[in-house]
Amino acid sequence: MKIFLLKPSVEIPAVNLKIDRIKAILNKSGNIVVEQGLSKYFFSQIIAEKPDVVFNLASIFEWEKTIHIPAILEIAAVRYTGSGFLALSLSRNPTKLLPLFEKSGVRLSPYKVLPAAQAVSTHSLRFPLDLCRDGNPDKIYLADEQALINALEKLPQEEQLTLREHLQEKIQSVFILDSTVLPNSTAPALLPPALTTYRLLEARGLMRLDFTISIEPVLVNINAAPDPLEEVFLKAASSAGWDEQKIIQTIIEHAGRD
Amino acid sequence: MEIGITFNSFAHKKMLPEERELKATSLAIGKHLRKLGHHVQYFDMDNPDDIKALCRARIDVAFDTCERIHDDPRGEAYTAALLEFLDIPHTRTSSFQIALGVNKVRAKLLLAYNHIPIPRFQVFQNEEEELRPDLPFPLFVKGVACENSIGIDEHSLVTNPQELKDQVHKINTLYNQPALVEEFIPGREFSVAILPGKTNAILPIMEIEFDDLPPQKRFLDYNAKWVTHSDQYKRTVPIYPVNLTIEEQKTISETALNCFNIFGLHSYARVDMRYNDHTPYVLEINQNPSINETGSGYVHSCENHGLNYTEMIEALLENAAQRLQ
Repeated sequence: MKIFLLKPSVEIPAVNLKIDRIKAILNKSGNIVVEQGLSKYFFSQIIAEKPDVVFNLASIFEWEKTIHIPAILEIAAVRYTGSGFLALSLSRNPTKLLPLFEKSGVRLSPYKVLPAAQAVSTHSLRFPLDLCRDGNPDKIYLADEQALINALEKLPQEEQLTLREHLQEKIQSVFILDSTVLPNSTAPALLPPALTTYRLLEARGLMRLDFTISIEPVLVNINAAPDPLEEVFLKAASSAGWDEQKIIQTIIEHAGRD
Repeated sequence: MEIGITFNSFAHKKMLPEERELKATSLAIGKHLRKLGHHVQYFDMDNPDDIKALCRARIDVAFDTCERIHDDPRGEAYTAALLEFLDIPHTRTSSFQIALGVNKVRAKLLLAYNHIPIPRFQVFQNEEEELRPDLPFPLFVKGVACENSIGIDEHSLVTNPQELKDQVHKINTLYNQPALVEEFIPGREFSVAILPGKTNAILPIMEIEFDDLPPQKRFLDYNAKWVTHSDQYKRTVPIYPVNLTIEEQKTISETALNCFNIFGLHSYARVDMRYNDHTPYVLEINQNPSINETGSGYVHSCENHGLNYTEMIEALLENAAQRLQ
């Protein structure tokens, strides 16, 4: 199989080490591997190379503009790893994501979607809070009202943002790779909300979901493009007897198109 | 300015009525852009060589009229995503907003969260599913992700369980998607178009006149939208100005603008509603209404606002160019 490794546009040594590990696994399995950093010409490169699968590492290791990659791969009519355009972009837009989850019955911590200009006067949530912005990976932790005022001063007043109550409870990460839920020891109570969330997003490939550990679990965080070699996932996968080779092979097997 | 028009040539297939109109719209836009003194290049999104050329092109703004990639309507979002990736400002709303709106159920959930009145609904994966008791007949059946009124025909309004089963089966099998079954809201139907800009302008409200049609045919189906020789097309007439009180006009216009803002839209759009019992029920938010030079509701609304076609094209272009600044 010919595999196109689409790498981030910026070279980061720690990421390069992981990419080298993935490349070595793919080569060991007898695949032909072509690698290329993300650039505005990657559509043309993919059309020229005609790969069987694009391993989309750019959307995993880089944030800026990488939600667009699955859309461009759809135009190129090539199978690719990971979620499609809608799932990836929705997962990074909490002002739309959280209402959709709520209306579909997924339990969340109390939250409000509101413009920055009204956030102080109308939020009615209990501190501490997390401030989440669409298209921004970093949550801002707000211990009290003053922290909120300070944070809002730096934002465009018309921007819609999300304020969520910050839960102090212990978190468990659950990974889904199509129909497989990892780790094997995942509490049964987490399975229905995890699978519902995955289907709602129309996700594909690997996804990470963080829940509070309680009788009625609350979804705290999702990542539609998690690092397949991050320690937490490797540990979860090993509970099912999966090594790095099995992980990468399974991700490739589940490559597809929307 | 150097303008790129992204479009579908549909060169690989025999065109359907809406596809002929889409292509004609692309050509008309080019003609008017040239009239405005711009230099125009066309990029056929059905041709990989043209897409490669788009990736290398030096253009100031893309007038994006592409609606399909590999005959898939999600291609509208994919094309906008490609333009955003290339840092080319475009005339559509953002790729994410387009993708979000493709699935009507997702759009309805967002409207419901924001307390916008919508018809109650149920999604059917197959015709054997049981109808919820809070959904009395008559009901309206369409595809969850069909656009351009595809899948809406003279049988879409169903009055009994057998008709419902048949129509759900048709949507599931012919269009390969779940069926969206809504309560049918009687009453008058209105469309509100929004012209984007520094302050988004609400264009004059348009009413669809159905009075000539029997009650079971008072809705806009595929023929009413696209088949000019059909009875349904000829007998569904847009009416300006509408006969509404100032208060009613305000309610309808504000609802449309709220929808526009909830979805974070920033380009031309149209909101379709049924007004019943002093409530505007939102049927659909069209983030990419037809801007065909002849016969499209959006263009009629602009004309009633005092903008001719060339001025409308200029306004949409300016809105796109401003977004970059």
